[in-house]
Amino acid sequence: MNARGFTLVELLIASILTLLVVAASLALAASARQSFAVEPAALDTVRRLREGTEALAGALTGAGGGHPAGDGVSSLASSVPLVRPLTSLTGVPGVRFTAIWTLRATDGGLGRLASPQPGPAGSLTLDRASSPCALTTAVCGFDVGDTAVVFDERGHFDVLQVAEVSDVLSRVTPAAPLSYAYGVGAWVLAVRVDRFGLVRQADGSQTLTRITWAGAREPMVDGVVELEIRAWGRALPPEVRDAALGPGLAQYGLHPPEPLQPDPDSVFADGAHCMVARTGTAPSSRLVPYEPGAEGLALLEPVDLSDGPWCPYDGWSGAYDADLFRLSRIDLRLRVEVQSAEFRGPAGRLFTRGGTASRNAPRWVLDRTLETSVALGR
Amino acid sequence: MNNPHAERGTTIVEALVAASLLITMVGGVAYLILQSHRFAVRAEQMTVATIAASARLERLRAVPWEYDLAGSEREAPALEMSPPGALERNVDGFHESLDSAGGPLVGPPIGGAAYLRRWAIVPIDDGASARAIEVCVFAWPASGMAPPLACLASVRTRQP
Repeated sequence: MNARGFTLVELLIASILTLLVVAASLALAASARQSFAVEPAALDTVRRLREGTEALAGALTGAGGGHPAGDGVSSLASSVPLVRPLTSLTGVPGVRFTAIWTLRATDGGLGRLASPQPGPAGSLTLDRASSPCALTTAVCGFDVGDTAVVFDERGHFDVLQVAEVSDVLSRVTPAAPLSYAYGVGAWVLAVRVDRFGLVRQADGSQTLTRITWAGAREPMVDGVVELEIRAWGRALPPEVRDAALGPGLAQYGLHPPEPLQPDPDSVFADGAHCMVARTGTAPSSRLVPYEPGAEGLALLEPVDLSDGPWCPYDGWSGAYDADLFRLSRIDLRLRVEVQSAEFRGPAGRLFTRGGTASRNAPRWVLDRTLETSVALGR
Repeated sequence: MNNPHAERGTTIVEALVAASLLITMVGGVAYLILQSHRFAVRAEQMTVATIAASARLERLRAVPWEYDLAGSEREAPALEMSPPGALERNVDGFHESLDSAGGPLVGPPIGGAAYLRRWAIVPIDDGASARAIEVCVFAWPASGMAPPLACLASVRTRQP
């Protein structure tokens, strides 16, 4: 019988092995615990960054893509600025672009005025007998509550909400008076109009938010710390083609009117409007040239989009800068933070807003930034 | 009657086998955690790379490329056709280093580069009215045969 037990050497070896295994297990457990906490937070940060970037890019692509609504000459994109960089979403205007306004056509109503609007508050009587009016039970596809844009080829446009639809009279009545009484042939088109920007929350964080035309605020992405928007536009004014054969076609923006066509607003000379002047019968652009960059575009600052020339004319209630038609590309830079402060270190280059993670770098989830560009209207 | 063998305890060999098993299991778990982290990093890289490739495509789509008033083709330097192999090696004018946000770095990349973006512009037919654009983004530094993180392609047509 052998009842001698462990020798001291065996005990020491066994203890050392046990200690090594326990130490490794503890280290692994600590690492795993940290990893299980940090990885989901990091993945969530990247997910929100991607979703925010894609949402903004998608809205810009949808708006800039325009719509075939037009008579083969003018179109929604050539008659209405579909994208507007803003210096503020809701508050006091700033000195750089931090928000954006988009207008994009939707699969809804589409028609043209059959008779002049009796006044800015009057109903819009649509031509249901001819294209492009959709053959539906509703008037050209419009229904109560729809958002629509009405525009002409001289730069007038209004966004309206449909308050009433009369199938018998082929009329669509806006909920509020428009800024202008539109004439025969003006286009009416169902659209979606949104503003995108950051809204500060009670805890100091900011949320990428969409504000609809009706004023509904739709939070899209939480924990956004920066939204930078750079607007690039065509450096050269639009050339006018085929002017010898007719009124001519502008490369972008409003096409020239017929040479002898009077201005219904009595602001411009015959054959001219906010974007086109005429020297004799030859059309020329009112836009000034900018110095083009390497890619043929010029960086547009807020002042460039708020100094005119104004369309449809200076003094109109909804006047806008004709340089908006130059817009060709929007660069976006979105920066997102981890939502829980326990993963944010001290404020600085790595963290826009400081957190409670102090110096514990392995538990940090850094702010993530993403840059992208969106071409408009191509 | 007692079995003398039942009281002999654990031998050092048995202890070593048990420890090895434990270490193997702990190592396996550690490996899984490491792999999980690697996949997360890779997924983030691919997200940034895809958006960076898209951004370059969009920039090239925004370049004015038209006919002049006489109907002649007006060239755009940014849409010049690339030499062969522009996606496989760095060709002047067809590559740029990007930071971790996918933004282009200005000047030589010293420490700040995270990605490399290359693009090729090739003619469709004679290239006078349409060109194909392909953009690939690689992890920095892009060694010879390293596969790209993301590639996107589009066709650009000359505007009237």
